[in-house]
Amino acid sequence: MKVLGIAPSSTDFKWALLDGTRAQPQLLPLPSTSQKLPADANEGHALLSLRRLLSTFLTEQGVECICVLQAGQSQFGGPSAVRVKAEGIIQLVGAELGLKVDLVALQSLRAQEKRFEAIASGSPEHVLNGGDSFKPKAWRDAVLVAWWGLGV
Amino acid sequence: MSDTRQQIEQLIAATGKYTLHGENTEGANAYAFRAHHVPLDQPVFLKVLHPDPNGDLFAEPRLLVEATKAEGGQSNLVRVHDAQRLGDEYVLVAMEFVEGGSILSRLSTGPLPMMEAVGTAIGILHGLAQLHQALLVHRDIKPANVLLSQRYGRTWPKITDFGSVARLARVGASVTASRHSSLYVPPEGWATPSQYDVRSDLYQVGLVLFEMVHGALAYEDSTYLDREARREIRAMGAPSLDGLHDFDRSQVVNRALARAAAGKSVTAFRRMQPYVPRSLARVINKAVAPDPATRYQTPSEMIGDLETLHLPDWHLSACGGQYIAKAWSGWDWSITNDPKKPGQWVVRRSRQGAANFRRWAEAESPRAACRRVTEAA
Repeated sequence: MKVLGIAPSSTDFKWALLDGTRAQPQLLPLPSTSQKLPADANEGHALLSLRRLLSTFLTEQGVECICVLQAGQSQFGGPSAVRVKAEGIIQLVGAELGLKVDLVALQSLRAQEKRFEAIASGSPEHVLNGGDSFKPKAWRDAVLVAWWGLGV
Repeated sequence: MSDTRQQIEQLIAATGKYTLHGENTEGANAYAFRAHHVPLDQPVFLKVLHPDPNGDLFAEPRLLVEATKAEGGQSNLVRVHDAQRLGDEYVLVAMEFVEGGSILSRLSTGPLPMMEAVGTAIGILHGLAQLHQALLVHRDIKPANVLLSQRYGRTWPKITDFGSVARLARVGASVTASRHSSLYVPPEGWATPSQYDVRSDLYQVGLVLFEMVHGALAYEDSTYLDREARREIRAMGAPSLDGLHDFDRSQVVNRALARAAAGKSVTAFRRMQPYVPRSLARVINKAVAPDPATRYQTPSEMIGDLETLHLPDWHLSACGGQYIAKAWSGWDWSITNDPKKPGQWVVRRSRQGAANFRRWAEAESPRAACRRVTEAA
C-alpha cells in the first residue's frame, strides 16, 4: 500500500511516499521532499490552489492512504492557524479522492518510533535512507508518519 | 459550399443528435460548427476531425468522453460530451461551448499580467494531469488551443482541440510526435524515430508560458533560420523564405527548427525580458530544457514551483526601447534610457490618468529598474 506521510509547517509540507509493510518498508522517489504552500495574497485562493495541487499530486503518484502529523501546541501557544487549515484541506482532498486520511499526534508517533528498530530490523536511517541521516529533520517526521500508516 | 462540407453536414444530420447553427469555420485539418445537442439540450461546439486511421482517436473516439469527465465542473479540459466515428474517414467530437477567446486572441493585445500568465499555466497543467491520468498525451498545446473562461473571479483556462491526442501504452511510455504546430514541437519530436511523452506536453506548456509573459515566442519568422537553411533556400532558387511555395517553406522551416531545438534551449533565441523575475525564468527554462530528463517530469512538479511564486499582477511590456508597467495601485511606470547619463536607466512614474511622468528612481540596468518598480508595489 502506498502511504504518503506529510509533516506540515506554517510555510511548507515535508512529504515522503512509502510502500510495503512496516517490517519491510520502501521509500519511493518523489520529485521533491517538500512543497511550499501556495503564495496568494487572497488566503481563500491559496487554499483552493493547495487543494488542487494536492489532488493532482495524489492522483499522479497513486497514493492509497495519507498520514498527517497533527498540529499540536507550539512554543507560541496553540497550533498555527495555517497548519490547521492545511490539515483540513488534506482531509477534504482525501475524502474527495476516497483516500483514508489519518491524523497522527506527535506523542503517538514518538511512541511508534521506538518500535521501528524492533519491527523493521534497523533504524529508519539504515532501513530507508542507506544509513544517511534525513535532511531536513522534519522530513524524518514525514517518513516516520508514512511508516506509521503502513500498519493502519 | 464545398462537396466535402456538404457530405459532412449530411453525415452529422444522419446521427439525428444535432441541429447545426451559427458560423461554420474550416481549418486545415478539421471542420467546426456551432450546434445544439438535442438529447442533452445544450449548445455544443462540433469538430469534425480527419484523424490518422491507424490512431487511437479513430479507433476509440469515446476515450475523449471518459478522459474529460470531471465532477463539479472543476476541470481545465473542455468537456467532450460525445465522440463518434462519422463515415469511414472522420471523427465527430461534440464539445462544451466555452465563451471567451483563446490565449492567442488575448496575446493580440500584448503580454498577460504576470500572475494571470502563471495562473493560466497552472490551470493548463491541471488539465494535462487529468489527460495524463487517462494515459493520454495532448501533443498540441499552443495558445490557440487553450480557451480562457472565468471561474472564482479569475481566469480559468480550458484545453481544447483533442485532434492530436494519442494514447500511451503504459505509464512512462512514449508515442510519435504530432508535428501540426512545428513551432511547438519539442526536440525529441524532431528526432528519428520521433518520441513524445508527458514531459513533451510540459515542454509545450513552458513555451506557452514564455509566450504569455513576453507576448511572443522566443523565436518566430526568420530568427531561427540558420546558415544551412539559407543555403537550402538559395538552392531552391528563391531570394528569401517568402519566395518559396508553402510546402517547401514549411519543410525548410521544420528542418531549421529541428536543428535549432536539438542544439540549445529555445529560450536562448531571445533573452528573457528584464521584468521577468529570475524565479519565473528558472521555471520556464526547466520546462523547455532540450533534454527531457532535466525537465519537469510531472505536471504537479511544475505546478508546485509555479504556485510558490510571488509576482506582481501587473501589465508589464516592452515598448520600443523602453518598458512600461501599469500597477493596480494606480501608478503607471516607464523605464527608459537616461538621456543625461548613457548606460543608466531612469524610472518615471505617474498617477493613473495623469499625463505627466516624473522622475522617480535610477538604476544601472533595465532588470534592476524593473525590480525597483516591482518592489514598490
